[in-house]
Amino acid sequence: MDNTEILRFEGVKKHFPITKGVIFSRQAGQVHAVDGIDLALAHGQTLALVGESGCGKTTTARLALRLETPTDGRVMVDGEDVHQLQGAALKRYRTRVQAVFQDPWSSLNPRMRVRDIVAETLRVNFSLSRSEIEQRVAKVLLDVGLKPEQALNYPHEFSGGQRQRVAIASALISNPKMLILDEPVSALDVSIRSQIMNLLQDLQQQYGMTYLLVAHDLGTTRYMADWLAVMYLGRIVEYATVDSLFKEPRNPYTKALFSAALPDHPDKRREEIILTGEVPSPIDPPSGCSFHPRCPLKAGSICEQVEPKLKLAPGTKNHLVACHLY
Amino acid sequence: MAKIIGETILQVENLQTELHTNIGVQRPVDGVSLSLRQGETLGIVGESGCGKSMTALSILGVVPKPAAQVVGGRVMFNGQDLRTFSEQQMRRIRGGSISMVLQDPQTSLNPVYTIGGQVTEAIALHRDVPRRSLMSHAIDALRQVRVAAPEQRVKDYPHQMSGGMKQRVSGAIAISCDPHVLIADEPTTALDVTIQSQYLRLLREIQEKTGLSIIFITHDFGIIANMCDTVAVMYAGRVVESGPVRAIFDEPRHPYTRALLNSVPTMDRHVKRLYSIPGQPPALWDRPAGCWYRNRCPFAEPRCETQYPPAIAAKNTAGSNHVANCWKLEDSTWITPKS
Amino acid sequence: MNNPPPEDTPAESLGVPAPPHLLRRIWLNLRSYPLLSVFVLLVLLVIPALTADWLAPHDPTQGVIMDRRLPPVFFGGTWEYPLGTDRLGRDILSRIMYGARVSLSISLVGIFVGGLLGVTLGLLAGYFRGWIDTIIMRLVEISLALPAILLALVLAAASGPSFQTIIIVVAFVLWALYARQVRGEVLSIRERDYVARARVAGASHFRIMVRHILPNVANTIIVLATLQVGSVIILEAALSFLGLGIPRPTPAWGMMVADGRQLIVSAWWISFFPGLAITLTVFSLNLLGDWLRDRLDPKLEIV
Repeated sequence: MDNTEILRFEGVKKHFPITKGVIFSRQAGQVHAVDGIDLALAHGQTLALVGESGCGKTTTARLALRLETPTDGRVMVDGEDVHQLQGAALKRYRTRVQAVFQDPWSSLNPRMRVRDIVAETLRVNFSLSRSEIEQRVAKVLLDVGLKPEQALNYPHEFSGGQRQRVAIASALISNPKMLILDEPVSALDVSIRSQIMNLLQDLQQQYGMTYLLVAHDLGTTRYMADWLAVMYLGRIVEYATVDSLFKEPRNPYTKALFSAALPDHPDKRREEIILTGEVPSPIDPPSGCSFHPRCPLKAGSICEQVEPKLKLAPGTKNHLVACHLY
Repeated sequence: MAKIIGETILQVENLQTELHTNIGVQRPVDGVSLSLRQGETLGIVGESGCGKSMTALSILGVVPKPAAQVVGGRVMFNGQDLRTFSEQQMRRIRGGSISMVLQDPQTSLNPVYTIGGQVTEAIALHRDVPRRSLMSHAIDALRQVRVAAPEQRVKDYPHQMSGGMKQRVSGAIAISCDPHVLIADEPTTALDVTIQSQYLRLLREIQEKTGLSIIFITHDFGIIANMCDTVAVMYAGRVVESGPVRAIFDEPRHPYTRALLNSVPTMDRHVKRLYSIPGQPPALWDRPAGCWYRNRCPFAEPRCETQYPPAIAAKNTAGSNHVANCWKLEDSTWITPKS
Repeated sequence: MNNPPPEDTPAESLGVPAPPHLLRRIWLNLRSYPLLSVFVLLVLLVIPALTADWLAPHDPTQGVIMDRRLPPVFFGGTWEYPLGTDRLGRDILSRIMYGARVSLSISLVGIFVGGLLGVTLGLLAGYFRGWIDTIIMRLVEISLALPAILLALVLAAASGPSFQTIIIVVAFVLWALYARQVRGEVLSIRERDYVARARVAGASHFRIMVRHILPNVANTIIVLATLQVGSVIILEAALSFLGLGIPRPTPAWGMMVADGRQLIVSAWWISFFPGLAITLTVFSLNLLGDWLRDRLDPKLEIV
């Protein structure tokens, strides 16, 4: 596995306009879904984006997939700005970066056979013969633990776990270098989740893929990821290896988030850090550090005025934190 | 924990619910027995389709009729069998002595009425409160679930509130009539972690203050560990293991319980490889002969194929409170191996 | 391991209802057995339309002066004219058979033209949103606000009543319904993850619309079209009744009703039988449409 970088976000922002009026619409405000993100990910690694709903983790994933265009900044894959790609370079990107979405019930077209769902990327980007396509479909179906004969079935003939396997197969067919996994197991039943997580782990080993994982469940991220980026209101507030982050979270928000996680044993009920209020609206995020109105460890008026930048936490080699305490 | 657990308040015995479908009669709840003491939290845990929600609906007699029908068993509440109650008597029980919070805060509140209107309606139905003081009771109920500035919020409509806030309002409605038993059906599934933990803490506080008994239905062992005193693990319409929460976590006896516990990743330590249960739960119309878990069980023996195992006591410190439906328990040294 | 329920068992509708009331049971039976509807439609509409040239006992346009206003058989008439004759001595049965052809061709062509236009515009509006959506939806609202009869009057006045005029009127009345319905569904379908997946795969807008979205609105379109055959027949009848329909002497059901209205007391059959044909046809089409909707509605599908 090489250590070169595959994915890089440079000052990426995504603001969604809010319009008002029926006939003559005008812009009434902006949702700051992603508000200045820098990150980098090396080949073969898994980076998990965690945070509560509305923190911008899904928008970040969609930006990397070219499903959204950034308002500002650049998203680079293999050194190329993905939103500038055209022609052959765009096709190459399409086959190198694939996705698995959360809900296996809505991610498969109910009117298409599994074969056609899985082969879509090949059909769109290459002109292969029918038998070549069938061979490759059969191979990826075996890779994800399905039978090649199931290629002729329709999605409704499968259970949730099997449908997620079909979705994974369709992402794998173009031999991608990177998979964007948007909550790949959270819609599945407990006993099916570990099947899918283990499958994703095995496939990563086998094909040396890079994963960008969006998840809200901290246990899932600990199991799947090498790196963790904690997001709050469109910004990354802490970024470190999984071991370092779970051992010693630095940012007060991360601490609160971790303390709210459910225990894995009745004797380990946590001492919870109580946050006041709810997550502020991303339409009008607070000034300075966006966590300051709820922060139990506020450093002072600097928190209200200056936006903290990600910097190395003292005494660490690669644990980045955005907080005025450090 | 500062919690006093009293006498048994609700005893469910061999509850059976049938579902009439166009492919035949099925039993989503097939002989469920549960026991709940005053001030206690009982967790019913299982995967989707295991019958946990249908069990709750059957206890309250609100299964979706006419397709579904409770066909057998007893629901003893304060010494009386609720199954013998008339519809009118049951209406007084529901939302009064036994109330329920549902999973989705978006749909459990009526969008066209104010918060205050919905809470006062619940109070007016079940409590003998003069009309003039209804609103102040509603404000008290909202204050109890920590809705900030309840005097103003009673005029709000559901769409003006966040998901967590709406779920608290549902909670306020559920506890507004001082119920003895609260059935909570995955009330935090739609909520974010921090909001979920606030909500769970709130329920615990109310329980400590009022001695409320709670049945918590969930698929999440984290919630069980956080909230519950006793646990019933359900699989394919039956309870397969039940006992005190620590016994279930420390010495699970049923292979399914152990497998579930081992298949959930935790943030507290790094796990190299999660256990994964092969296959999926049997469909209602396709339960195998013998033990219903045997197809997925690594310890299945020939007798598992013919006879459904009875509830056998785990011979441990929990004594007769900890039982599991597995033939392996006949061997007194049986401990489910860590897989 | 893989045991999905049989295809006709939508998970939500599991369960048999309690024995319903007799009338309700008849209604449910009518709805659950489309064969009756199909039979009525075949007998009344499709077979006569296709075979009128051979099967019709008389010329629909040439009357026999001696045989004016003859009553139907069993009401004093003879088997020569089973449903009687009109005031020009034309055989009503033959005219109904030829009229079926007019009704069927106007419905099919009109719905096809209107549907094609409406589905295309609805697809574009729902998929691209933004200003395309705004323009198309304003057109839809304008179109729905204009009375069809007024438009027909203007067109007929400008170019005279003809088959083309009726098709234009029908298409004009229908397209907006398709556009609105399809747009609504596309708005929700385009947010599904399988559309996102197709975009990740690099599929073009055209491919996404045609391969991923259109098949998922097809059911709605089919149901809507079936239900609309009935309303088109009524619209055509209304236009013919007003003299804005197919030019005489070509028989059309609506015109036949109009022709008999002054004689409704003395020769009721002249209006009655074409009226009955319209009623039965539209009723059967509505039953069939409801049945199709129950069968095809994606929301009732096992997901």
